[in-house]
Amino acid sequence: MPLFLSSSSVLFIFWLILSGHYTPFLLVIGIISCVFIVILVVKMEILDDEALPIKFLFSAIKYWPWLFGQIIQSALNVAKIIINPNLPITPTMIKIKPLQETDVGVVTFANSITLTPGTISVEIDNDNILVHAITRDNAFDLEQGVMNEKCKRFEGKKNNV
Amino acid sequence: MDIFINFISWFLLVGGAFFCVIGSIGLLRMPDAFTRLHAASIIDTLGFLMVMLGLIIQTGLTLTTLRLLIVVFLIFFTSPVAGHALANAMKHRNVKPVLHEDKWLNKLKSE
Amino acid sequence: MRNVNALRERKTMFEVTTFLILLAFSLTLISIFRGPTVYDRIISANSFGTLTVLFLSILGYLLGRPEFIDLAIIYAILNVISAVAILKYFRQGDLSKSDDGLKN
Repeated sequence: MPLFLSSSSVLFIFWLILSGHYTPFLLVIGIISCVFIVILVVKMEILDDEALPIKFLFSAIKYWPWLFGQIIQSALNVAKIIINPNLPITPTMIKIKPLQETDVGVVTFANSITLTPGTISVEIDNDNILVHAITRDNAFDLEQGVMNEKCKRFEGKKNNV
Repeated sequence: MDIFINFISWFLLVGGAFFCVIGSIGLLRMPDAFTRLHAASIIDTLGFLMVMLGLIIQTGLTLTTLRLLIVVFLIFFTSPVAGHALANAMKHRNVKPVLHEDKWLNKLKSE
Repeated sequence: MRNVNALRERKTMFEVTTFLILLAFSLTLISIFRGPTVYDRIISANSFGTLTVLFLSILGYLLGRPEFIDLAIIYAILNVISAVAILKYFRQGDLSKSDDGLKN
């Protein structure tokens, strides 16, 4: 029930932002449609903990600014490589073992790898992530494991699994 | 104050659009599909983020700002998924990436 | 008077950005037509979609109609859905198959 209420209120906030017209009639219609959609989702049995990851909010506030810094830094590096007339790329494939235990942690790590320009996660096995890096330095930086540690901290304690 | 805000958004908007141009130049210059993905991710991250921040600073605090933020979050959550799907499909279809070692070997053979 | 000047400066700013993004558009189009494999074309088309989102947002400011951002949101969603659908088609040859049949 708390999950029901919180997801319909998140939907309703989204509706409010997109709408921009606030007459009582439209507001009631909006509430009705939000509740209807959540009832449909409950009937489909896809409403679980992962549908509304509010418990990661605080760790996300700590993790995202670091990630944005990393994105800007590596995007500038890749831009420098593209402008360089010699095109100094040394494409490398490496395997990295993720330290995270939950699915959300591994997905966050793989998505962070892909979001950072210069590294792309190609395939996720049971215990390894195959990564394509545009230069050898990028691959080495990823192998040092700073981002891996940060994602481990992002995921938090292993609970209710 | 007005001049200051205008200066910052000049920098962000033109810088972001400049990075978009760099990313599309990279799409043309890179040798194979895997390296092209790196160039495409510059457009998706830095270029997009800078232009959107410039627009947000120009707008001030209204409902439009929230909508812009929604677009930013949408792209930042979905673009890595699309990138990973691309790379994974290429792996499944046995598209071989040009790796540094291969190039080095080829150079040694040709000499 | 000062207000008019500020307005004009804002307009120039958006015009310069639009021009640069149009340049990026044309370069991306060239790489869509040139790309040797299907995957190169899909990558370029995906970047083209991102650029479209940017272009629509800026066009809203240039024309003074912020409702264009709603169109940008829809384009952002459509872009991802189309990329994933095309890739699923090229990976499995069928949109309705699940992934389990492929693993051996």
